[in-house]
Amino acid sequence: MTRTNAVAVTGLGVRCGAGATVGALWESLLTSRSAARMHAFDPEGTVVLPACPMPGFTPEGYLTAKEVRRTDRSVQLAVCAATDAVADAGGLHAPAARRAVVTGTGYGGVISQESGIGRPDVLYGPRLMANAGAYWLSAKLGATGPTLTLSTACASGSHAVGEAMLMIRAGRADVVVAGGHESPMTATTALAFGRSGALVTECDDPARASRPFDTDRQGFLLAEAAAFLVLERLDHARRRGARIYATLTGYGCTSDAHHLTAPHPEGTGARACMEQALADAGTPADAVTHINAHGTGTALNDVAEARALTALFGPAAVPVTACKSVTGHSLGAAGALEAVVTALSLHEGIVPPTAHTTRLDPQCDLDVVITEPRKLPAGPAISNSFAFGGHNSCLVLDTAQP
Amino acid sequence: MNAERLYHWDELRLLCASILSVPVRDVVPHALLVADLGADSLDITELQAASEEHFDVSFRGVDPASVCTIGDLAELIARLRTTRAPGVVAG
Repeated sequence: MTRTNAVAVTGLGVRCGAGATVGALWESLLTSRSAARMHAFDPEGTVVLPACPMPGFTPEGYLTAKEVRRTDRSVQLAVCAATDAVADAGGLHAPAARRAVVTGTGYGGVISQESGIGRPDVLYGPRLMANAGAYWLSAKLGATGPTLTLSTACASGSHAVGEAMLMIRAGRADVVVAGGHESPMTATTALAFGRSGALVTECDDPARASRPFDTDRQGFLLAEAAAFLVLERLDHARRRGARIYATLTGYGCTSDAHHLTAPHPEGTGARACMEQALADAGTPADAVTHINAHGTGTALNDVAEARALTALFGPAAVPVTACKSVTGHSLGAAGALEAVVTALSLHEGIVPPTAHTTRLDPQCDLDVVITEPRKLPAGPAISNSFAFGGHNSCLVLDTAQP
Repeated sequence: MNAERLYHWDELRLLCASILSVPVRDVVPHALLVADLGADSLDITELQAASEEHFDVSFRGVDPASVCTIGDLAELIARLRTTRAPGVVAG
């Protein structure tokens, strides 16, 4: 089914420890090369945990010295990733008023927030505000249409992409730069996640510490990242001869209404979200070629997500991959980063493996892609994101028809 | 008044260069904050707040239009420091 206002993915851009470019990220995923290392979250080295930072990151060439002073690291990552995405798309081919920006972030400028407590400077507010990324992208990209920010914890980046698609369908914009950004690399943030039991806190080998759906999984690794996609009307993209990575055909958005941090144990909200996304896309469940799972590597997520997948698709019926094994968990950026990976998987016809997972948890009756990449038939795929707060977001992407 | 002979000139110069993200060599007495050094409203606000804190003075009641150059700013700070009562927190 092709809607008159169907949506094409024409540009991709990322910044993360697993890759400073889309190509580098893809290579890391295909070769299971993790971004994780032992990371000191404070200068004194009192909080040291396995994590996925981006140590060599610099916004040089994307932001002036003054702009760097005015932005949190999270926004700096966003500007670089989004600028690359737009360049990858060959520019934004719409008048300023028809360009939109949707950003997702969980924490906003948490590094700036914590470093300024008790001694804020004039830039404190504009650096830490959650919508700072949306401002900087609107200004840099000359977007005077709708620009806004969503914050739904670990689903922020996915919701941003889904809502951007709805914006195009509703006729409110012709091109949207949508994605997520997060740099949660502060000692307080790391300690908080560590104490909540969600993080890997002790391990022999950081590079192999994130193992979604594995019997021995211990949690996730905190990561910093930004990922942006250029979405545009499919007819416009075709007319200008753009390279189309994939089409974005469906979006599900549901809530567990169950618990502040735990998913519903049966994954009912997650299942409803996938069903809604498939219905929106007009895609039957048995047409789905693979799932890019939320797959955090926490016991609560993995079992609930597996139950939702099995209930909807049947036991081990559809290939599942979890890229947080390589990228770590970049919270508000993760959903967008995984949408980028899903678009690439469709474009390349290959699913990257779930790195480091060797012994599947018997509670997860899934066909998890492990060890090596798997070739894919053309057809729709789902990217899942489930957040603290019970916010669920599922995107359906499909192979671009020639 | 020769701004460069004021005792706080070197400190002010570094502060301005840092806040306006310009090379120190460009921060000269006759440099216009807006036209020469590219300052916008946020820079001016930041420069004011940082100058007040760094030099322990208050710009309250100062006409912003009277400060156009780096030299104006240096002289204003010198004037405020000499007129304020010793030991009293300005502002």
